[in-house]
Amino acid sequence: MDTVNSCTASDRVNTPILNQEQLTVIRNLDLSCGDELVNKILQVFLETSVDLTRQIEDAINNEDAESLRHAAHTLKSSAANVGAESISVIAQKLELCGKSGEFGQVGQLLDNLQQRYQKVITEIKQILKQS
Amino acid sequence: MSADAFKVLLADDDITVRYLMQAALEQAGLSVTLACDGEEAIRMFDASPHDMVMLDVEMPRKNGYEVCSYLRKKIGNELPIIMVTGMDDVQSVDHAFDVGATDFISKPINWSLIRYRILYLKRAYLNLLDLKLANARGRAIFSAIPDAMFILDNGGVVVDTLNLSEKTFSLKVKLGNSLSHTLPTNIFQIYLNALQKARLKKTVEHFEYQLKPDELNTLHFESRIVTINTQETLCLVRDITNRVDSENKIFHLAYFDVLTGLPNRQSFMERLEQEIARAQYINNRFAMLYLDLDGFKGINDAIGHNTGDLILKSAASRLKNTTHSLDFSPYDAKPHGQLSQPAADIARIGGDEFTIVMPNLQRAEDALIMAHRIRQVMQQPFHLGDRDVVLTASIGIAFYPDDGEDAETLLKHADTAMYHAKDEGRNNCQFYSSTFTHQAEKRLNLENGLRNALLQNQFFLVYQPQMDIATGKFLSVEALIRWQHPAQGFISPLDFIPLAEENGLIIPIGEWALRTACAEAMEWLKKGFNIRVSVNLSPLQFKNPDLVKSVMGILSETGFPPSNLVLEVTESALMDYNAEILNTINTLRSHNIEISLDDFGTGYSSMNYLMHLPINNIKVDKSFVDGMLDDGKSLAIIRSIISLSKNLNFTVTAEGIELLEQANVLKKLGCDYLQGYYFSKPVRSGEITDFLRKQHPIETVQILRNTS
Repeated sequence: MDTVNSCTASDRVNTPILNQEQLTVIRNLDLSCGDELVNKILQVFLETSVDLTRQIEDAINNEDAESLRHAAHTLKSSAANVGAESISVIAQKLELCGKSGEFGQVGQLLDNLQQRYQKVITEIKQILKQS
Repeated sequence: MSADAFKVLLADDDITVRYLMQAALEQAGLSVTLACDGEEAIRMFDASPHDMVMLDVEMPRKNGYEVCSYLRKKIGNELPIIMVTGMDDVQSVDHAFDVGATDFISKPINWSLIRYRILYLKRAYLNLLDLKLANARGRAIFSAIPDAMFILDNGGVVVDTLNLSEKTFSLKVKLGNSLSHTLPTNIFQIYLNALQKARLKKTVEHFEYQLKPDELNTLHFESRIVTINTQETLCLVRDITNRVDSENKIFHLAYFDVLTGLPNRQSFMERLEQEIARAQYINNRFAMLYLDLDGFKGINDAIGHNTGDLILKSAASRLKNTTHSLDFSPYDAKPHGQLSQPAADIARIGGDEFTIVMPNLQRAEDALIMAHRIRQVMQQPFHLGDRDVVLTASIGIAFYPDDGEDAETLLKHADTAMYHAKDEGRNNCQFYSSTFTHQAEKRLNLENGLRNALLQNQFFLVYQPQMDIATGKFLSVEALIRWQHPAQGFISPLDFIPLAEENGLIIPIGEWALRTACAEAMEWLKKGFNIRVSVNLSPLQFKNPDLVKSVMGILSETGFPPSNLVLEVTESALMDYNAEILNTINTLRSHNIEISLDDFGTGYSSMNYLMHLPINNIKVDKSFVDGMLDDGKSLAIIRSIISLSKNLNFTVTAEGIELLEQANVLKKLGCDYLQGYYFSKPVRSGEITDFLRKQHPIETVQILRNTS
């Protein structure tokens, strides 16, 4: 309960949907090609994160702890890499639920994730469209 | 990317990580291969080995740990494998270490810094590879070097062995052991000294030593010592036994004649040069003999080279025996059976040509004696199976520095002298210089003559009367030896006595003189003339331990009363007087034999021995009497001698009186006895009794009486 509350509390904090600093870091990794790398990373995130969120949903529906843990673990890492820190934080909590097999709070976390996720992909699509 | 770029294999199931890592590492100049799971990573590595592998811990189809274990087993410990773990996931970090990961990186990855992290790891890995290469090179070098290599600490304990080949097995170097366990103390000490020296001087110390593993073998080792750091020293030890043996063999081949074992020409020339340098330094003369076997070549051709070789070997051994047992003086006091110092150095310098260097040459004729001895030895038959071969030798003799001051000249002139010997009909010996030939022959003849003279009674004695001033009568005579050579006539004692002193013949000659004097004086006594007789003893006789026995024997043999015998010795015989000489004199004195000191004042007159020796009489040398009338110094010396003698209770005899005036002055000074041509020349035994009957011209006695 506490974990979920603190999670939602942090969600309410006015954090940006995508951390622009992280995108700058990525941009700096390959200055020669402008936004190409950022766009490529955001594109693959779009493609893979859809599967991952679906896997998380399925794992929760099936109460498959191991699948939940693994999918959440991967999403945690990917989201962090594109600066979607809120998603990464929620994924980390889901990963812990998967690890412990505690499914009590997962519904709430999944709702939060889906809300956040929609915002993130909207933002990403916006960025990709602009470039 | 160039072919030799640093290749990194990255395995992660998160595509964002793969892309980002690729971008980050390529920015650092690295070549990156991507795998999306464990199996793909293994497949890619097997297809093309990489320089570094980064593994996500959590991957489908073989996780990071499994891939890490696989690679470690396959490729060894050096390959850098970096595990990518979750942040604060201590368990994963620990597990990664256990499966052999080189390092770990935790997620989320800091993409701005990751490339530096990898570059640091790359450099560490390249250093490791360099070190590995250096080690491999080192091992290759060690294994190619035949030396034993080990590391010592400062106390001489072996702390590491780098290379211990079988050849150096005998060193018994053992890890953890001190060298002192296996090396003799003195050699261990050499190691420690070299260790310190190498450290102090920062040099490579080099030394050689020998070990004797058993009675028969000697092993030679060469050791190099170089400091590694403050604690360790590297030792390289090489077994050089074969090399040393070869060197010795080569040296022997280069310097010695294989057939006879004698030094060869090369060796001889070096020896000759050394001898010249030595002789020059001590201002000495030495002889070089050059020997050639007469007609050897003909014999060699006639009966075969093998037989010829046997003859050469025998000749060499005869030479060795002859020269090594050489003892020139027949009366030399050297104890028998004692191998004397080699008197000569022999070499074989050609087919049948031998050389002999005689370094300690006392007299030129010694070389001739040696040459004749060798010649005689060589003409003994050589027994070769059932055949006897007789050969003769021609020998040439040259002297340093007279006949040549350098080795070449000396050798050439000895060779010339040898050819001269051949020209003279072979089987003989010749000097290079005719002066030496004459001198040496003369002396040799004299020496041979001396030996014969005793046997053939060519010596006789004459007696010079001595006037007793107190009575005005002739109461004593001095016996003097004379030699009448059948061919050469009269030979002066000044010529033959020194030679007899040199070769020891003085002993039998002196004995003969004493015996003859006693016998003849006994005859006079029987006729009623009670005359004392002085007989000269040479220093050599005086030092002879048998002197007393010999004197007493002669006295009892002849019946001559000991109190009528005076033995004259020179100062030089008494100079180094010792207990033995004192004993001799005391014994003689106890038999009432008188001792007179001859030639007083001509040697190193020492007052010291005069006080200690119980002598009776001192003889003033003729040289002082000769000068006494013209020369104040001679007179002063005579006066002193007489005064000294009176104080010490000795009587004084002056010899060489030729003038009445001399006699008068000597009488006035207190002299007791006078002897000289003024009174009488030495006369033969048969004439003495007539002389004593007549006594002397009346006027002489009268004049002497008037002045008294």
